[in-house]
Amino acid sequence: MNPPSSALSVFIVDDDDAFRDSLSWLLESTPFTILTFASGEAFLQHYNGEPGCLLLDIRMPGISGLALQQELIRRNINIPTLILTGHGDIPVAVSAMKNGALNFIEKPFDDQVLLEHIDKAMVHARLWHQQQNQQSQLTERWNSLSKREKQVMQLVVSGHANKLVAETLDISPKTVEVHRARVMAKMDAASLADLVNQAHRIDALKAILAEQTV
Amino acid sequence: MPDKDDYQPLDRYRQLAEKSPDFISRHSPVNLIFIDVNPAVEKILGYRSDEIIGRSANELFHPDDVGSWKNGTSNVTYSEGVYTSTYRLRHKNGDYIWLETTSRTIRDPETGKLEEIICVSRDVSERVQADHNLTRLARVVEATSDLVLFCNANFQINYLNESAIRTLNIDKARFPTLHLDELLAKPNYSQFQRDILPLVLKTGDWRGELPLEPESIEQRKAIVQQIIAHRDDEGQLSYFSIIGRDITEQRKAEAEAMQYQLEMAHISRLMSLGEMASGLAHEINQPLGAILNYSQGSLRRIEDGSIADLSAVTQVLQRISRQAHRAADIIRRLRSFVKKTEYQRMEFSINGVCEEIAQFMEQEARNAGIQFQFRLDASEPTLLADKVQIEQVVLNLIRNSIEAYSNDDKADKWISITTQQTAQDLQVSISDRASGISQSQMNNLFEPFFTSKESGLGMGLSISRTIIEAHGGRLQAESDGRSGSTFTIILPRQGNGL
Repeated sequence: MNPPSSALSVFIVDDDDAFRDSLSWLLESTPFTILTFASGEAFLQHYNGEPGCLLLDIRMPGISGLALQQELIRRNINIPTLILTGHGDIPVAVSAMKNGALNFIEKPFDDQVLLEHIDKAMVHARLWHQQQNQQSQLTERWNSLSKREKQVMQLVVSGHANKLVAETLDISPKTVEVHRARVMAKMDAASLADLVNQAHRIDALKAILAEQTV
Repeated sequence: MPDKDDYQPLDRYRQLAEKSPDFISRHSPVNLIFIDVNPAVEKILGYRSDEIIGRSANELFHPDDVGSWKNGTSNVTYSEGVYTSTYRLRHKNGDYIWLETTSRTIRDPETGKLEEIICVSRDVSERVQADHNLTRLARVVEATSDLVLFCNANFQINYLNESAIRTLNIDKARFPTLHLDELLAKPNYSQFQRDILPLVLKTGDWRGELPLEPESIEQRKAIVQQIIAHRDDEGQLSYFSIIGRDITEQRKAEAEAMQYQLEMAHISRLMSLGEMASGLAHEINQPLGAILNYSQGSLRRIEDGSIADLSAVTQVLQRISRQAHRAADIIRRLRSFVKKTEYQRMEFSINGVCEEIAQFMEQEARNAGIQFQFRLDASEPTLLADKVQIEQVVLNLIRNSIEAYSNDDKADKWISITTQQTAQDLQVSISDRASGISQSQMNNLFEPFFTSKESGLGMGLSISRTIIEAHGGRLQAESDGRSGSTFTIILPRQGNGL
């Protein structure tokens, strides 16, 4: 399930050509794929949710580092971000951290420190990617359920016994059992607990369940 | 007392005395009591004869003149039995009248005893006054701080006042033989003969500046400011007056003012630098960071053996040295920027200055999302001035424009830099489209310590204006108070002023 390191990318966004080039040279010795962008706009245009981490210069013409972070948040892109700057400007650092940056690295930096930060970021990237994968897998499975199966699953994970489900849906308990078995199979759930767990991670279902609790 | 035999002539004498415009009086030797006076007394002293006869002349003497009769002071002369003295007597109205009196003593022919004194006096107030004025005038000439010299038509100096002697350090014994050419340097004397003298002779009066440089002068500076030709009634040239001035203090003050201005410009540069520190740190850290990355990336490759041949290393080393040069350039620019410089007037391209300063501010502008727009005069105008100071002013104005945008989230931020040469002057304008300057701010804009910035000292514009005015120019601000401002430096084309 975990992507190999080569499938992880380091995205470098910095307006300084020499700095971008040198950073790329430094990181080429890592197993990651290195991609460089001269502006926030260029990165936004290219980025398609690939797993990896973002090395972001905070001071740039056009979209600043902070503005790019906010745009990523707006687009619901949770890419682990390390802020790079040649200037230890505390208010900017605070804003960047509030925007969810993992850390703040002042230029020029020690390669070891940067690589450690990148490794940590990649742990986040993997985790996020994994969640992303699970999420899409779950959504895929959920989407494979028939309308009736969705209704049954919804009631079952809410804690209703088969009999009550049958009454609610006005079908026979036998039929409920058949649907329920199919749901377990399609959702690849080992147990009822597993199914309940999965249900809470499916966005579409989460909302409905939350409504019922209220 | 006259004898009866002498009556006839005496009567004539009496008549003569009665009609005389001179004031004739007879005095007793004791206390100079008036024994007899002619009617002229009334005209001269205001008293009728009957009012004054019997009184002592001593009562009427000016206190300062009381002794002069007895002591034979300078204004009493004696010649062939006649004393002549000039002194003051009190008029009836209290004023003192200058009288010139000739007096003769009448003695008993046998005993030689002093019997009486006969005086003939005339009012010489006007003459005395004129003498006094002349004396005062001479004193003024002698005492004035201006240098005053008189010379004859051949430029032989025959008078120097105290100031001239002191400033030019002339030995008093020298000046009967002193010639004007000894007071001027050779080229200046030539200039005087060639250009100035014809003007003096033609118009009678020349004004200008001609340095006085006799060999005797020590650590002082003096100039001739005016030469007047004096002619007699027939129009013959009789002498010249040369009026000059000791300008040592003035030059010193000017030098001090210039020094002060340089100090201010230097301080202003240091202040600018302080305000730019964060931008500069960023700018220097870029190449340093790149150098570090290149070298660490190379070390890693060498360690894990992934670099096989030298060409890969060579390429990176070239990039490293390029970045090191870039850092060094920034430092060099910085150093030349803060270097304390002497005043240096030189000819330089104003477009070049605008471009250099814009480049210097490039990083700061980029960080703020601002772009420069140049509209430079294609005729490449040059300026004769102190380049460092003019750079400082341009820098101050560009910084102000950048800072004007600090609370502005416009997408399109630009600063336009314009140079334009007209027939009389050279203009440099820095414009922004930020929020402008309000009318009340405008009133105090150039005052020292006036600032609208949180961290500003408020000296930038004040110093800038001082610098431009010292160059004979003006610094103007225009703003509608809403959508931008324009600062314009206007300098005369010939670079007047300092």
